[in-house]
Amino acid sequence: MIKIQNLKKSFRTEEVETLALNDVNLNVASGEFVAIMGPSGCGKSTLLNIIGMLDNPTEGSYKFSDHEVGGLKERQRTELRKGNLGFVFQSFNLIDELTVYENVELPLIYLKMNKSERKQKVMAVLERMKIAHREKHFPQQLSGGQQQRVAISRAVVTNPKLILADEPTGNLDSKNGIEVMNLLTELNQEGTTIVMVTHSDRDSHYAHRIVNLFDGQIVTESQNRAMEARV
Amino acid sequence: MHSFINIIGLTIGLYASMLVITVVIDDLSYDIQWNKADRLYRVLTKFDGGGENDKFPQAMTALNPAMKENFPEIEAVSSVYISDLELKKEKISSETIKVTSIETDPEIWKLFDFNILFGTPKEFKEGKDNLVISESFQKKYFPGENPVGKIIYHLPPYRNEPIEYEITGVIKDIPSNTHLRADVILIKPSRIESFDQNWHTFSFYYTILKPGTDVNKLTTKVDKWYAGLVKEEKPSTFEFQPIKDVYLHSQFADYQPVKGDYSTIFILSGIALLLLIIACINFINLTTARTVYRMREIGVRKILGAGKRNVVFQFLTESLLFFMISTVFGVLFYFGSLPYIERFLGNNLTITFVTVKYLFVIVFLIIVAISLLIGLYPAFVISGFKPISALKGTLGSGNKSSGNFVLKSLVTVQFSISIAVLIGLIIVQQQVNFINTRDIGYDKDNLIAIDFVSWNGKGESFKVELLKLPFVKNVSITDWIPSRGAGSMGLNIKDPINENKQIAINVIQGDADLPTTLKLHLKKGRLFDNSFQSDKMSWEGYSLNAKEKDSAKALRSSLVTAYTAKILQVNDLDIELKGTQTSPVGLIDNFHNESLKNKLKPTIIFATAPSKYSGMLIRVNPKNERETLSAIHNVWKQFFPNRVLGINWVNDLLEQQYSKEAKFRKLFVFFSLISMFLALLGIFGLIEHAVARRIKEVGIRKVLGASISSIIILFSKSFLKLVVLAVLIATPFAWYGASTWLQEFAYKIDIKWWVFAIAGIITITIVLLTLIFQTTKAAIVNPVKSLRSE
Repeated sequence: MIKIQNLKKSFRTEEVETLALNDVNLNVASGEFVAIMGPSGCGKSTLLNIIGMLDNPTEGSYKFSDHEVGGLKERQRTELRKGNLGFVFQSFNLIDELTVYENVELPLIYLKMNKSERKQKVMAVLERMKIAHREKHFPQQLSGGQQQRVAISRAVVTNPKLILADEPTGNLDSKNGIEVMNLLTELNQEGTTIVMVTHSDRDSHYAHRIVNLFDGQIVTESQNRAMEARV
Repeated sequence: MHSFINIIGLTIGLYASMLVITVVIDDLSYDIQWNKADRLYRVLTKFDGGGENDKFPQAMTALNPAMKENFPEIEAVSSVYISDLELKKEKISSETIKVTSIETDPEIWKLFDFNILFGTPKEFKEGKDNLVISESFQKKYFPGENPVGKIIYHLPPYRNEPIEYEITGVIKDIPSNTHLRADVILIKPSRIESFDQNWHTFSFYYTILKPGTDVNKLTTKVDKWYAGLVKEEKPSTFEFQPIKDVYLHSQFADYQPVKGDYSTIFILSGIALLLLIIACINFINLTTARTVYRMREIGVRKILGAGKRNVVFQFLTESLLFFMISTVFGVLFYFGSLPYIERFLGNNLTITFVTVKYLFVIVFLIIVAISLLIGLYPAFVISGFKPISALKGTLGSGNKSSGNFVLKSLVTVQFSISIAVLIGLIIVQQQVNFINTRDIGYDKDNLIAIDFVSWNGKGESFKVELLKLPFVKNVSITDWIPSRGAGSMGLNIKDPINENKQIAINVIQGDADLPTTLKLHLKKGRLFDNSFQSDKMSWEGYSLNAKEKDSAKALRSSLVTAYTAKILQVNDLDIELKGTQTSPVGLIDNFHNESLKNKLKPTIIFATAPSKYSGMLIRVNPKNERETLSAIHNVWKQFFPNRVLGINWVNDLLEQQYSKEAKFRKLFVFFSLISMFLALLGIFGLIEHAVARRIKEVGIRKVLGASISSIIILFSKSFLKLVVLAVLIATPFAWYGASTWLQEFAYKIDIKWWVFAIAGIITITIVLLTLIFQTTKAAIVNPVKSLRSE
């Protein structure tokens, strides 16, 4: 599903040019659950953003389902992203002015889906995430765990092929964190590919494969024994 | 950026409203400075002519001694007439000094307190007319010398030999905030006339009443006395107009060159208030909107132990500081622009915040009060934050918070004001265009007017000589020239429908060439023609009251306008029109012999042999204006070498009639542009803050697949809703204001619905452009950046 070859990303400020990603090669197969780990500033989030088509690489090739993404314009990236990708953030990134229902509905609106279809999909995913009773609440009125469930609902409502999660449990206590990881695992088992950036060893154990990043380069890749054992 | 917008907005707001208020205060201060202002009155006469224009600011000259003798309440009566004089220091000199004079009698000193600097002008010096000059006149023309006792000359247009005036005193300059604005006072012996049953001459009379006089009772008494005195069917009545009302509450533009009006004051005060409101709303909105950025600061302060009171105090201080800085700039601009405003208004401002110290203190205190009041709202909003949520930056983003509502209401008010002002601007512009382009019934272009002169029997030969000039087409010696009154005289004719009613008619007298010179449109019959004897008969010795007609003489010719023909039921030409002793030979289209502020009145043109004392109209071919005038000048010099030629383009004369409106329009345009600019400045700042506050939301939406245009639409929707609401709010106010203003005009445009639509569309377009500019900036930001802020 994801084929990344010799990917480089550099950021230029007035004085220095910093190389955030240096010659990264990474393949992710459909249905895989990959965790990207590494210390702060190693380029994890940059890699995730490029995979999520929020950012363009400086050099190298990135193919998403055999589409070359590298040179696409913003409008084209947006089109490719819509419906194919779902995002889960550490800080949830829900829109405070919108209700739970409206937040989850948003990606469907941008897919230009009609109202009744939207309603059906949103309600289905909210039921599934066990948050339907809160549909009329605003994000501020929910607990952190509930907010992240809403965020995951929003990420999956379009049935994306790929979910990108950036430290999804970072702002949660362990009970809620485990719950979120179980949800992601469940989605993965249903066929959704997941790429997750994390600091947490516990979370990384849910993944099939762990990619360790250091100074913009992949230093080790390891298959997850525990996971295999569980599977 | 925020401070910049705030200070600019406040500075302009304070500056502009101070300027407008100065103009308003000055207008309101007219004639209150006289010591006995409470007892001074102008005498108005009211006729029952059945028409609208039945009141005018003069009274019978014969009233002067009679009033004082019969009514002990009246302390003194003085005739006061404002006129322009051309004085000469030498008897034979082509250099003239143009001055405005108060022509009056020795009684004037009992009414008005002029400050005497030199001489004893109160004692009338017999022999010559006395001239009292102002200090600046003295300084300019008699520098360093005492002019008292000197002779000064005046050659009025109706005389051949100059009149001598003796200077009897110097007074301090008469303040410009009086309708009796003048450079000199010309004192002549009181004119004594006795009542004639048929004929009155009129004077401008001012009286001073004894303290405690009931004006209403006095008026009734005078009316009764007058009714008993004359044997008129409907005797005139009188009105004592308080001097303080003369400037603002008079409808006699023709008689009173210095005249203000109430609606101007009303509109200007409104604009001043609106400017201030807009500037304050800007301040509140921007300050409150910026709280988003300051929540962290306030949170830290509170955690460090600052109480609510400290925070409120801090913000009030900041607000005060903003206002003070703006006040300093505003006052500097104000001070700097006073001379320009004075030049624009054409008169000095007596009362300004600079000349009157206590006014400045009052203004300063008002500004301090406003700044504290205005500072209160954002101060309380901010101080009310809970420290933790303030630190997290999560407050103020709730959906239906009351703060949002207040901001939205204020923005709506601001939009409404701007839209209302814009509507006003469009309507004023339309009306001005309407007046400028309206067909007035004669051709005002390429027409020259010569002011009234006594021709000394040389009028016709002067005319013949002018006609020899290649570019002169027609010349007419006429008793009426455009903009100088409605006609040569007035006539009251019995209403053919209602015998008891009289119809006031304007009579214009001119020679046979007048209609062709004016290019009047003939509808029926003929214009005047010199080959008809009846078109050039002299009016000398003619009396409208003559009972027996000279049957030997044919009736004089006249032309009636279509409107007159309708009112007087003139159906056939060439038969006598009762009450005029003329027979109409032609029917012409209506033409506006008065300014368009007045409704058409019945008007008849009488053909007459050239008068001895009259004006002249010259129709020329379009040519170089200066050459035309100088050629006429040369001919004039041959005929009247010592005389000053008063010559004007009729176009200019007509424009002068609307100079007040033109000034008002400029003032209105200036201040409304300022108010629009201020409102826009505020909206610009507000949108910027709205975008800044929601930058994260924009990021999220973009991640979820929103396009740039959908982001712009998202922001535009909420602001556009406010604009539409504002259009609805502004419409009735603007409609009311505009129709009130239009009432001043006898000929006015209809207010069209699309004016409101256009104002709305213009505002929406401007707001949209601002929105697109600002939101595009936010929308093209890579969401990676806006989401990283955590």
